[in-house]
Amino acid sequence: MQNKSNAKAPLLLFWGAALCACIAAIPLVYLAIRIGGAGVSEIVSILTRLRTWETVGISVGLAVVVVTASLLISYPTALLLTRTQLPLRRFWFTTAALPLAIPSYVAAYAWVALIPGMNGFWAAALVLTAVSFPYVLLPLLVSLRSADIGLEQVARSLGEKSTFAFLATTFRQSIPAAAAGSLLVALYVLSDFGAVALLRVDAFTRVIYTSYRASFDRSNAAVLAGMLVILAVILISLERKARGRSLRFRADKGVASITVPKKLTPINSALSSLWFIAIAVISLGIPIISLLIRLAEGTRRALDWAELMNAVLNTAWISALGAVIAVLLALPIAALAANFRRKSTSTIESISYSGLALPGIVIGLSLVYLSLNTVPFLYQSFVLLAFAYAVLFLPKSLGASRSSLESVPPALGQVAQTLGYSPLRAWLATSGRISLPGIAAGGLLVMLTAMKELPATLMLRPTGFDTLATELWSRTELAAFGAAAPYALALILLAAIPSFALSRGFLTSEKETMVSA
Amino acid sequence: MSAISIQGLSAGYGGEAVINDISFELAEQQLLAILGPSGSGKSTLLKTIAGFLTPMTGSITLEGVTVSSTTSLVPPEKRNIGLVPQEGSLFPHLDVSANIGFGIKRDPNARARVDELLEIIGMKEFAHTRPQELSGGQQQRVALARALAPKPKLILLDEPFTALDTSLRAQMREDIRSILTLTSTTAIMVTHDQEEALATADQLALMQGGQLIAYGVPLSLYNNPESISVARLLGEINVIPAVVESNNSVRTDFGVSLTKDSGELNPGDSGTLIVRPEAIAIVENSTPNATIIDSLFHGHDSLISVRTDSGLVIKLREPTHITRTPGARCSVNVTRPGIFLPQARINP
Repeated sequence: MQNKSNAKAPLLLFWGAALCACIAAIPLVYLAIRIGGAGVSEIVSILTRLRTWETVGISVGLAVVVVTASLLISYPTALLLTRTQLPLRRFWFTTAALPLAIPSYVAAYAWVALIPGMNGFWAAALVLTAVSFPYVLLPLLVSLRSADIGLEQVARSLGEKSTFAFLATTFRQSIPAAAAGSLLVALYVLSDFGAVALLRVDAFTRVIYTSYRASFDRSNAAVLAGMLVILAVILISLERKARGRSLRFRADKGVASITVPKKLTPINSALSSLWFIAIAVISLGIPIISLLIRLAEGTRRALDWAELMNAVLNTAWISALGAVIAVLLALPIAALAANFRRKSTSTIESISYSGLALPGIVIGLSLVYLSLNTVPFLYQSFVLLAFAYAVLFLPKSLGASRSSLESVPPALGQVAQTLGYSPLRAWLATSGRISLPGIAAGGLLVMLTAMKELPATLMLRPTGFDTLATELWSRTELAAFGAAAPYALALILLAAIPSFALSRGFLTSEKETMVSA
Repeated sequence: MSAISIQGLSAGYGGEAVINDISFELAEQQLLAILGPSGSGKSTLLKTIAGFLTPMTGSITLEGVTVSSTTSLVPPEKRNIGLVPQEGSLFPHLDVSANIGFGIKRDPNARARVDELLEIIGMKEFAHTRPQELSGGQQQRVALARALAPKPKLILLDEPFTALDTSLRAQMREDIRSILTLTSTTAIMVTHDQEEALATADQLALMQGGQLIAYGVPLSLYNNPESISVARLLGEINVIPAVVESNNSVRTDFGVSLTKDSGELNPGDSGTLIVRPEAIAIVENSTPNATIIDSLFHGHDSLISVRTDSGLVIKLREPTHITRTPGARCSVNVTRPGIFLPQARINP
């Protein structure tokens, strides 16, 4: 009995999933309504403002610079890791994903704390590159490792020089992976709020935030948010395309030839090691050292443990609530998508991925408007903040739930039914029960990610409700770097958990491709 | 009363019929094998019997009670029909005895029943083993015990041996056969392996393109196929043009052959003689009438291809102690009666 049935989904499941997808789409829809409400002349006036296009220029320029820098770092790094007998190769390999563990605003805080007065476009470019370049490096490593070296060897046997043979074959195979990674970096830069705000760069997110704070011009914030969403949607669809193409290169069966890593001369070994050390120092060393210096230096007044613990607890429970909502929204959609392949189900699924195209600042803005205009009692309530987390990180929960549900053969549910279980009980006793760990892991990932969220938290939190992220933010704004250090450290420790899991997952999937190759 | 009776059944997905106008009856305690190539609708038929699909036409009756018709459908959980799917079908989070006891949790004698079944499948010492630690054959035995636990009226087996090694299959066939006999269970098994079907079943149903093209006892379907496609589904055949000489002999390009007496043949009628490879032999000390073109070694025997002087390619089986070299001349002869199908029955 085939894995995915053409059969119609049960009506209750279908409409349940559709309802969840619609709930997830609320922030996007309300943003559109709010922009529409601004009126054509207002929108035109905002779109024709020089300042609007300056903002576009700064954001796009920042994305271009960070992507270029990431590519320039990632290609040599990936080649050294996959093609040479670099000293400590395994160590450098396992640390490749680590910079992703540092939230951008923590990195920005660390640099500012080390070099007070550091700010502007190039400072933001440096910080954002340091925290986001692994998005390019990781897919590139996978691509170069699994690229069929056979082609390169054929090219060389046909008389091409080795560099040219590499460019003509393996390099070309790696382009889709690098492109997909670059688009993720661009998306990261456009959505980032913390680094550009702390380093005072007037990119989209910061301008949206300041327009919103200066409450006389909220239409401006809404229109800019709309433009940002459009840019993000373009990037996401391009990324999907590039990723699809990068998979095609790996669809071949048969045994791929394995490269024999080149021996490096001692001088080259030393130079390569220097390269890796430099990257590690900039992306990990400086933030951590700066943080430790500030921590050791202490504050003028002693650390308020009660305040820190309060922030930790607040962060934990509000993120957990967000995770629970995300899992509840994701489950019907995941169950539908895992077992019923139809056009209507994939529409439902893609609607629920809208969180990908909504930077935290946009979701925050949309939900502020929504609550003020339609449900004032929810404005700055815990429920609304948790809901924002749920929509933002729904794709994570959906992906995890879906893939673990998909791995359960539908025959199990059918067997349970023939043994006297009603369809719902059969599902709970088989698919539901077996995929529980995967679903829970997805929820945990949402929780850990939500703990680091800054812009939506700043806009939606109830008055007086402080999380680790908001405490770090307000202390850094006041240049109270020492007082901010414990919060930054707590955030890095929290953030390291999913990144560690990610790099573990990356390494095991590496192993799998090597075995299947 | 028959255990299951199916009348004019059609079913499919999204308004498109995959199986068409299927009718048959199966007596109690019999094992029916449904044989057909992939895509012939075997699994759809099984799903419809289990109650996962509503018929588009026709009905299914279990021990006299109609369970599926176009207007009413007893849900799978209320049918008391057991299901053994292809592979990986044990609940991975439960040990062997919990798997077997899954369907009888409310039964006060569940423990005794599980022990009894563990005994029947010969896996007492595996009661607390996880499915992942079992071999493929053991997993299928547990899946069968799990389906048998609630004492179902009927067991459905969906290609139960596909995932097993060839060496294990014959043993498993015997095991399952004897477990079904021991528990007096009526069963329907789907397979695409003709050897498996012939060796295991009391009754055989042949499916092609969503239709039931033959139904009967394996031996008689094998020996007296009603059509070329039925003959072909049950194994290798030779299709030889022939002309009737008398009631039990026909003339082919390479001599006169015996046929089974079918009574209504008129001398001079043309048609087709169906002969299995094992009913043709190379005879020594006779005028050569063919050339060897190929010899395929199968272990217990070899499949030899020859081209007759009139241009027909004939396949025959021989014990493997004889070596045949391509190009050598030989004389072939039909040694056992074949089935003659007059032209009118081939293209009605």
